[in-house]
Formats: sequence, C-alpha cells, structure tokens
Amino acid sequence: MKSKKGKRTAEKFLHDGIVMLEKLTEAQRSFHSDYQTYLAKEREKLLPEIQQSLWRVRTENINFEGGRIVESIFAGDPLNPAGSIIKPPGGRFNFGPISSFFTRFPGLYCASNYETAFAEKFQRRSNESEGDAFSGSEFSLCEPGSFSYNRVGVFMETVLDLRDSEKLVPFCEVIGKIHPSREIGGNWKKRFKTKKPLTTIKSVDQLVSSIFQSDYQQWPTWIDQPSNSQWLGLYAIKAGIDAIIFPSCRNESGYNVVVFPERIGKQSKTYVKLLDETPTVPKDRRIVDSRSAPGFVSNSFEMANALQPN
Amino acid sequence: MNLSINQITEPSNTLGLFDSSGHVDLEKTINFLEISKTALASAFGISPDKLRLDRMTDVVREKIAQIAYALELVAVSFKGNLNKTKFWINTPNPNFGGASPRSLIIRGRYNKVISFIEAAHRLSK
Repeated sequence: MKSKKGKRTAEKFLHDGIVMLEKLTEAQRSFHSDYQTYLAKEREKLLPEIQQSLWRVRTENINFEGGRIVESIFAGDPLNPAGSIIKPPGGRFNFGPISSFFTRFPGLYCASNYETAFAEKFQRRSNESEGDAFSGSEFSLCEPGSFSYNRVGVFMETVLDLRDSEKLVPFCEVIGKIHPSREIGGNWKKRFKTKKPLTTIKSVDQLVSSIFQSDYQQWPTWIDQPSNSQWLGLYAIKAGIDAIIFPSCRNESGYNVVVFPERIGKQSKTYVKLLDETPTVPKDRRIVDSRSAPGFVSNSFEMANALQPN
Repeated sequence: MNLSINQITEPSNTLGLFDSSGHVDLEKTINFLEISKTALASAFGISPDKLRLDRMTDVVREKIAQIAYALELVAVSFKGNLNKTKFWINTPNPNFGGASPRSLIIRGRYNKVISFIEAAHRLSK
C-alpha cells in the first residue's frame, strides 16, 4: 500500500507487521503503549507455561570463547555488567533504565569475536563511518578507541540457543494463545483507521523478526516499554536459564552470548572469566562464578544507582 | 529552582547556551536545535506564550536548562566540534531505535535523550 505520492505510509508498515513508532502519531504510539501493557499482562497469566516452554528447549553445558568490549571506565573491571543497566535502554535481552515501572536486571554480554563485539557495542561496524569522519563509536558518544577489549571464556550450564529458531516453537505456541481484547481491537481500528483486525505474533518467523529487530530500542525510547527481546530475557531468567546465545544483528558472521549474573547461584557451574593475564584487574574480578556473582550484581546496581538513577 | 550550569558539576559552556550568570539562554538553545519556539512549546505540552521570558515558569526554564546542559555534554564529547555536535543531534541514531535526538526532543521525548547523554558522559569519565 502506497500513499498517493508513492511514499510508504505508517499504515503500510503496520500491515507488514513492522511497527515504526517514530512515524506514528502520538495517539497511535499511545495505543501501542497500552497494547504492550495488555500483552505483558496476558503473558503474565501464562507465565508457568512460558517458563516450561523455554526450559524444555534449553541446551546444557556449553563452552564459548569470545570477547567483550567495555567503556574505558570499566577497563580495570571488564566483567562488570553495570553498563547494561546504566545506559538507556539496556541491552537486547535485559532491562536497563526504561521507566520506573520496570526493574532493571543486568546482562553480561560477550561476542564471538572483536568485530562482532564492536558492532554490537556501538551499533556500527568498526570500519563504518558517517558524515565527515564520524566514526561508529561516536554514535554512542564514545571517543574513538576509548574502550577496552578482553577475551573471555564462558561456561553455561543452561542456555537458550537462539541460533536455532526452532527453539522458539514452544514459546511461540504459548504466546500464540494470546488474543487482543475487544476493547484493544476497537481502539486499534479507531486509532489507525483500518478495518484489518489487530493480530498478535502467531508464527516463529514473526517472533524471530520481532526479537532480532535491529531497532529494538524504539520501544523503550518512544513508549517506555521493553522490547520483545528484553521481555524474552526476563522470561529466560524466570525459566531458570543462565544465558542466551543469539546471532548478531550487526555482524552477520558473528554471534553473541548474554549471561545473567543474577542466575549464577551457589550451586551453579556457569561462569564467565577473562582468558588473558590481566594484572590490572583484581583477582576476584577476573571471573564471575558462583562465588563472585553476587558481588558483581550488587556492585553493578550500586554503580547504576550512583551514575544513572532509574 | 532554576537549573544553572554553575550548579552542575560540568562547567563547560562550549556552545554558549548559558549566560555569564549561568542561566540558560532560550534563544541560543532553540537556534542551536534549529527549532521554533512553537515546536519547543509543543514538546513541553505548553502554549508558545509560556515560553515568553516574563511568563516562563521555573519548571519550564529547568527543562530548557536540562536540554541545553545535555547539548553541552555532547559538545564536550566531541571536544567542542560544533559540526560533529550538530551532526549527532540531527542524525538518526541506532541507540534511539533509529530516531534522531532532535526528533525525540521535538516530540517531547527529551528525557530519553538527556538520560542517554548523561549516562554516556558519566561512562566516558
């Protein structure tokens, strides 16, 4: 559907299942905010089933070697996950500062190689620039080269491996039971002036597109709601899963791991450790494991509260 | 309470958005953003009349000062490079889901821009 002038309209994107919040009116964004709240409440009713659906497809005991980029402020503490809850809106699979309605939880992000780590951290490849020598990292207001890269080794006891989209089939079946209420459906037709019914995610392809949306930040940015991927991170934790492996949206050949430090309890075998000799990093900060994880978590919240109150 | 640059930890006034007494300069701020008073008033959800200096409330003045302060922090990030600062403000940014900071400010989402800039600034120290 094109408008008379041939432009793609906001309605066209909606009919394609693509939501571009920036292109919508305030009233339409408000609809999406209400709709996301409704969907979250409906999922909450299905939480036991959601937990089971994710737990059933878990992979166990996975080793991973890769790297992690942090701002220079964390160069002496590169496994500190505080950055994920300080900078809005958080990472793809964790809640950062979104709004005071949503409790932050940290994610420790690592990538399969340097290029992927850079692309994920700064949302641009290292060799990409815009305008007059405007480098990738400058989008994030990080001075070019002002960061630290460390190689890491990760062992994950329980993992949701999203490199295989089939792993999302059971989850998709559960959330597929959710339907828009009559009221929500009516509001949709009114706000968007459309006769097409409002639909929810019904297929794995739709779910994958939504989870790996390159602009997932639009949801917390425009309507103060977590993205679907951030919700999935929360549900993974609630299901008892320690980490998610996921393909990179920024670097096709790479993939990433997010470990949830809050999941590393006393009995957990999951860990993230620095692989190289790092004399500038205190010994007790070179590994996040069952002994040190609580300290990493509490420290990250202390930093976040000091630097960026929610 | 008016938020003045002297009350904030960062003393930089690279863009000159604050006067010598530390009060935000509305005209310079909207000129830098290249937006009209009407657009700024709309972003704040007030009538343009409320941006007149003699009618401006402390709350509105503080909002403008927060935006101006955030813009100054961007300029600090770019070591005072005006072109880069303007480019950053006007360019669609993946950190905001593809929206430009300016677009967010105009649509009343300036708090998102301010939070991001402040966090980035603190993490760069």
